[in-house]
Parts: sequence; structure tokens; C-alpha cells
Amino acid sequence: MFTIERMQRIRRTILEKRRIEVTELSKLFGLSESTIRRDLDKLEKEGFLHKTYGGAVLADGYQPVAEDDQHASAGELENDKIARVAAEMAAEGDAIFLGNGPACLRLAGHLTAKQRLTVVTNDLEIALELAEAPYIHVKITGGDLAPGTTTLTGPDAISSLRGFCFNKAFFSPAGADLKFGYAAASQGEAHLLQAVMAVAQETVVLLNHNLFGRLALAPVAGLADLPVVVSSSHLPADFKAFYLAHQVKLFTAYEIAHPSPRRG
Amino acid sequence: MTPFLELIKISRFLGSRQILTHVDMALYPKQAHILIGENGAGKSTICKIIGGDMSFDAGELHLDGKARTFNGPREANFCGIRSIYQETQIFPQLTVAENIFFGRERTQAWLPMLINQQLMDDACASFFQTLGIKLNPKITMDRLGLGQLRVVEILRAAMMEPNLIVVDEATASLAEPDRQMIFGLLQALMERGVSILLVTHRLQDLAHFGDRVTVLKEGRVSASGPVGEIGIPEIVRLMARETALAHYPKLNCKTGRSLLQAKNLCRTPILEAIDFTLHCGEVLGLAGLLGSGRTALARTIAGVVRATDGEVLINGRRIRLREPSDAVQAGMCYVAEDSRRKGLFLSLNVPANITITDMDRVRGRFFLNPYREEILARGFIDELGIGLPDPYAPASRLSGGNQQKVALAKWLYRCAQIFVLDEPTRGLDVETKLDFYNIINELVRCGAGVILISSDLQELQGMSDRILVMYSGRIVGEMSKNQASEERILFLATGGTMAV
Repeated sequence: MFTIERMQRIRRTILEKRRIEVTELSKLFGLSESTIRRDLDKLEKEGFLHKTYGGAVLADGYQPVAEDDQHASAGELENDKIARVAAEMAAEGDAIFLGNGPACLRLAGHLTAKQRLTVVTNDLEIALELAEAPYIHVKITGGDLAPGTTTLTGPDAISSLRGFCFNKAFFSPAGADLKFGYAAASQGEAHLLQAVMAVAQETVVLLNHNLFGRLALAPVAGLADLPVVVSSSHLPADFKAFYLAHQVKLFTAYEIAHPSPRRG
Repeated sequence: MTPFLELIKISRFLGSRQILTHVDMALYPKQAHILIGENGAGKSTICKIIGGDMSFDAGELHLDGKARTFNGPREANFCGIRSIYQETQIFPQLTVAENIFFGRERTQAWLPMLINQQLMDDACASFFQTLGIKLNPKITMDRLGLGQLRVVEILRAAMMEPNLIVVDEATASLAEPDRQMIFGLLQALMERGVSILLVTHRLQDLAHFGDRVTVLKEGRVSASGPVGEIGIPEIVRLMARETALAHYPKLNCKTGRSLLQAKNLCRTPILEAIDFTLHCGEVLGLAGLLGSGRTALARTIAGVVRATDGEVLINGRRIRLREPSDAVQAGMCYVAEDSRRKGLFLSLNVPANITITDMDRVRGRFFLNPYREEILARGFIDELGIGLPDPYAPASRLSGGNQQKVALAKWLYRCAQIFVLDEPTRGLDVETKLDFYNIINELVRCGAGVILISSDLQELQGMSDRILVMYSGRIVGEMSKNQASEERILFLATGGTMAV
């Protein structure tokens, strides 16, 4: 289990019970008390709880106003799950394209340990994420920086793809709809993604479950057109049925508290 | 000709699952009717309904043209219906005649408390003679082979002059001569006016025997009629389940060091010199026909039964497997084929079922803490998408797919490292199968090792990194994902040699 998820669970538990003991939490998660204490320290700094002797209570006047925040962090958690699965698909020696979007950013984070990988991206944040990775060759497309984002689009971005081809292209659309397919937030982005798909051997869609059924401005491709989708186990049943009927290879990410035995 | 017994639009639910949907079937006098279908198609349920062991939820059962319901097997017996079940039901220490007359023994005319052995032996002998059976009624049952036990069971039913004998999978696990003997006996009984309902999953049986056939698939009748009219190729096509998943979502994880190693593992006479290694992050497929020893191997590794020779190493350390808890301690889990029966406590709720593998984590001061059970289980219930009718529903009320997920979740909770999954997706719909494949992906991604036992060769090829093929208790072939083909696996699994 990862820290971020554990914190989420501790939060949930305290919201329900209003007070909790360290020993109980450590038994609950099968972790040492000192680990739990560190988590509680963090939560106290956030103003979520007050520590007491041997435990903690919900902070006075704490309102779960941050409903959105919690959603955001749940979404991040899910993106992370999805990215972990997608990271296994990038084989060493591959040249891949990473589009913009939170799931792709997470994916970049999980690629850093890979050897001999060439990553082309149109997102500056992703490029920065990979900057520290010793064995990854990063290329950035040209293009115009869309205001308020870190994403490069436009004719220069498309023309800078000339001369490349990719083993895999990963992208996370802004929405997916049964009728209109995948869509990006802007036309510029959509055009770039279409250009990427044209030179990619395989395109992998990374999609958070709550983006299904959501419309976005610029259509990119039909749902049945892209062969591989990575989502989470919570993806809506109608989309799952659609993918199965149209022979799309569907991966769903799971988070199961499983200690990872060291790989030799 | 009017049918002796007719099922009209029979439906039956088990919990929330519909196991029979509008089944129509007619059994005619003096005819052999074959009920064929894959495991889990609902064949045995039909037998139980006809035999009065089980009620039905909708539809009608007509006997000689009149609607009726059976209140228990006795009423069905009274109407001339006798059933022979999959498991033999005999008393091994009693003689053949005593078994045949069990429950209605002949007694001495002058003292009704005393059994008249001679009378029973004579009655049996003359009855056997009319049917052309050579069997001494005086020997005890434990001296007979399985085929002869079956014969005695059928004779016991036949002695009561029934109109219909229902034979549920009596020919499974029998050798060919024994099977012929049974078919001969059934034929003789038919000539005497009895109708037969034979349940089987073997197509070969159809070739020898049977006037009419009903093909059952997932609780529905996909065809019913004379064998000759439908034709065997069509029956094969109808039996096959649409399991086809166009693409298996196989995540090719990096495999690591060896996790589980079997060295010269033997369990005479079923397993012989088994050697294999399972690595971290690997899905090892185990192929083999029924009776090839794949389940025996799984049960041996899981400590359910003891090996007679050889050793098992986990993480390079030799472990002693005397009982299942030894294997569990070492990080292994075995999800049996019939997890509904073998893997769950059906009367307990789902959180209790999941947390049962490590109760220290849910123990309160004196009792188990249900609040803690629920908190710990909730993560799995949400994440695996286990659909519950209500939060405290007993496991018996879950659908088959959800029960299977619970049977796996309890080992995820236990943080097992080696998962031995015996036919994990059999009988599940495609959506649920997909969930299982992705759960397997996540397991190997985290570095666990999975042994996947399956009869679905496409599934094996789709999900395994490596495939071992078993035949009569030995591993007769090993191939990587890329080398594997359906023909090659079948060739080896039916006793061919590596020369392909």
C-alpha cells in the first residue's frame, strides 16, 4: 500500500470515528506504530486532526469542505494506478510519445527507472519530470505554448514530428463519449494527437474512469479505432461492453494492498 | 408417442443467479436421452429437478401428460423415477445383494426381524441372469472396481421396475471396457421398457448410445432432438461457449528470481517426477486434460495432500508441506476450482470471508471486531467491484463471479505471494473474466507469481508467460508464450511426444 492511499484511508477512518488510536491503525494496516505516527504528524500539519496521547482526534471545526480536493486526490490516485500499468508496456529500447495530461505525467514518473528509452513529448512538465532520469533520452516538440498550460501545440509542433516514428504513443484525452469518441480540450491538441497516431505503431489511451461519458471540444478518434485502453476497475459498464464488443484490448488497473517482494 | 416426462419452460434461480432458463425437454418411453453440455451448464440441476431433489421456480413438469411437482425424491421414486448420482452411493462393507436390497430387505417369512440372505441372493442372481450380467451377489462391494460399482447402482435402480432411470455422469472417470459394460446394461434395460436420461460431458458417449440429445449451454437449451438429425459436428459447435475474447489484456511484466521451485515432486500413483520453477512476475500456465494430474499437482503444492517424494522450495528455502497452513505460512494460496464450495463460508458475510485468512488483524480484546473487518474488506469490495445485494449479505447470495472474486480477495488480504488458481474463470461471463485477467496482471506487476490452471486453451495462451503441459501425472512439455499453439498443447496433453 502506498503512503498516499494509506493517508486517504486514515482520513476516512477518522472522519467516521472522530478519534483513533495508533495501535489500532497499526494493526489495521499491518504497519509499525512509528510509520503510523509519521502519517498522523503529516495530517496534523494539514490541520486535519489533533494528536493525542496514543492517538488522534478529528480537528475541531474541521469541515470536509474540500470535497473537490478529495476528489482531486482520488483522481490522482487513480491516474497513478493507470500509469503504473501503462509503464509496464513501455519496453526498454522503445521510442515512445507521451501526450499531455495528468495520467501521462504520472506515467513519466514511473518510467524514470527504465533503461534506454526515447521519450518524445509535447508537455514541458513531463520533460522536466524525466530530466533527472539517467537513461532516458527526452525530445520536446516545438510549437506554441497554450496559455495557462505547459502544453505545446500548433503547426510547429506537428511539423517537428516529421521524421519520427514511435513504438507506442500514450495519450490521455479530456473525455470519451460512446457516440463522439475521444476528444481533446483544444483543436490544436487534437490535430497534434492525430499526427502522432499516424506515426505510432500502437496508440495507448490512458483514461480515468470519471472522464468516460464526458464531452470535450475537439474529437481525436473513435472509441473503436484505438486498440489499447488502460483505465481503472471503476470504468462504466456500458463502455466496458463497448470495448469488448469492438475487440479493444482493455486493461483495468487495480490497487490491491500487496507488498512487493523484491525482484531479483 | 406421448412423452413419459416433459419439462416445459423450467427456470431455476440459485441466489440471484439464474442457472436454468426456460428449459424444454421431453423424455419418451424406451428411449435413451442424452443431456450434454460443459461443466456448469446446468445438467445436474435438471437431474435434481427430475429426481425430486430440487424444486423449480417457474415452468411445469408433466408426467404422462399431467402437470405435477415432486415433494422430495420419494415422490419421484413412487412415480417410477430413479436417479443415479455422480458420486457412488453404496456401502462398501455390505455384499452386492445387500446393497441392492438396502432399505427393503427380504425377511424370513416366520420371523420378520431376520433378514433372509438366501432369498435376496437368489433374487439377484436370477435378475442378473435375465440382463446377462455376470456378477456374484455374495461378494462385498469393496472388492469391486468402479465400473462394477456403477453396474450395481444401476441394477439397484432397475430392480424397482422404474419407468425412467436418470444417470448423472456415471461414465465419467471410467475406462473404456467398463463404459461399454454400462452402455450394454442400459441398452438391455431399455429393451425392457425403461427410458434412460444419461448426463455427460463426453461427446464420445453420443457415438455409442442415445436416441435423442439435448444440448445445454449456460442454463439454456441450445438444441434438442434426435441425434442423427442434429449431427455431431453441430453438437460440438453448440456446446462451445462463446468465451472468445478477441484480445487478452496480458501485461508483459519483467520476470525476476525464482519464487517457487518443485524438485522431483511425486505423489504415487498420481504424480511422477514433477520439476518446474515459477518466477516472480510470471504467469505459469498449466494445461492438461481432466485426470492429467494438474489439480493433484496444485493440491500437492498447496499442502492439501502430501507428496510422497521430492521437495518444494519457496524463495530458495525448502519448506515442509504437511498441511495447508504450512503453504499459507510460506506465502502460497490455492483458489480451488469450485471456490463456491471449497473456498467460502457461505453463511458468513463478505468482510468475514475476506478477513478470515489473517484474523490477528481483526481481533478485538475478546471477540473479532466487525467494524475493523468491514473497514479492511471495504477496500477490496470497492476495488474488485464485488457487487453485494446488501452490505451484510451472506456469501451464498452473491453471484458466481462475485463469489470467485471474494475467494481471491481473501488471499490478496493475506498478501500471498504465490497464487495457484484452478480454473479461475470457468463459467464466468466475459466482463468478469476480463476483471480476473487484469487482477492477475496487477499481481504479477507487484512481483507475485501465478500458476494458472485452465482448460480454456485460448485463455492459457493469452495470459501465460510460459505453459507447462501435463499428461498422466507428468509434465510432458514446456513452451513459451510465443511457441504455444492450440494444436501443440492438445497434442502433448493427449499423450503425444515432443517430436512436433
